[in-house]
Amino acid sequence: MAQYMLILHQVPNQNLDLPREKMLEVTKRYMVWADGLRAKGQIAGGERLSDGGVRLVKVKDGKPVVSDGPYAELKDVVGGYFVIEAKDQAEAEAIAKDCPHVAIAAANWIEIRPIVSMAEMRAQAAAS
Amino acid sequence: MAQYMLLLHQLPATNAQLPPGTMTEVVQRYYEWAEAMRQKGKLVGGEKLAVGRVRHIRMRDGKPLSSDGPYAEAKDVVGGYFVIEAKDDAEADAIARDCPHLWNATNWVELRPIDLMTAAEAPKRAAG
Repeated sequence: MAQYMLILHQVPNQNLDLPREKMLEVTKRYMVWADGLRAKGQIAGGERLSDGGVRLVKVKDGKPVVSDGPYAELKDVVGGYFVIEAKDQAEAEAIAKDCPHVAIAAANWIEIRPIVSMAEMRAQAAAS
Repeated sequence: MAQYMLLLHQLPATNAQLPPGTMTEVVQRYYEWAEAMRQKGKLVGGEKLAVGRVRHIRMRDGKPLSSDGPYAEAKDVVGGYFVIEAKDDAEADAIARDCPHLWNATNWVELRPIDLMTAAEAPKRAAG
């Protein structure tokens, strides 16, 4: 089994306009989907990221500088993520295609990224 | 305590031209930082994402479709992440500023408060 990260992309603040009831229904779809994967032992983690409180840390003249964004002006933001377990790329893709994130809004999309296990890299470094 | 995600942004090929010695040294700095954070109980997770094998999933005509990207053409990509624990935004800011990902001028860190879905679910699970 290998781990893959699903990065959930969306337009900024897309959920703010949703009525509360619709929002709850959408959230429930993510939870039901995640529970289904969890029951099969194929989910390692996943969280929703807040729309607010975003901070960007960049390097200016060799020093870290923190700013508030711009966030709302961005065309594309990360709304959350899942870390899944799949036996290969094909299975990871099938799981991502089934994720409710792509179905609930036309602008939503998922970036699938194979994870380089830090624990494995570490073991290799120690062995060499 | 609250959880925050650090999304580690970089140019697509930022590590490709590094000499192996520098690469090993850079990786070592991430390890040491992560280890120190873990010992303080501030690290929840973190992984490096692979540079290749990126897949994008989007809806096309009502069906999820996967494609190769574009990845190399992107101006900015996520190279990895950390999930940390901090008592407030100020502490999270300080941790992000100290993150070794800021080792070169083009790398930057997006700091995002996490909406804990698992925490929201916990009472329901305990009751059920």
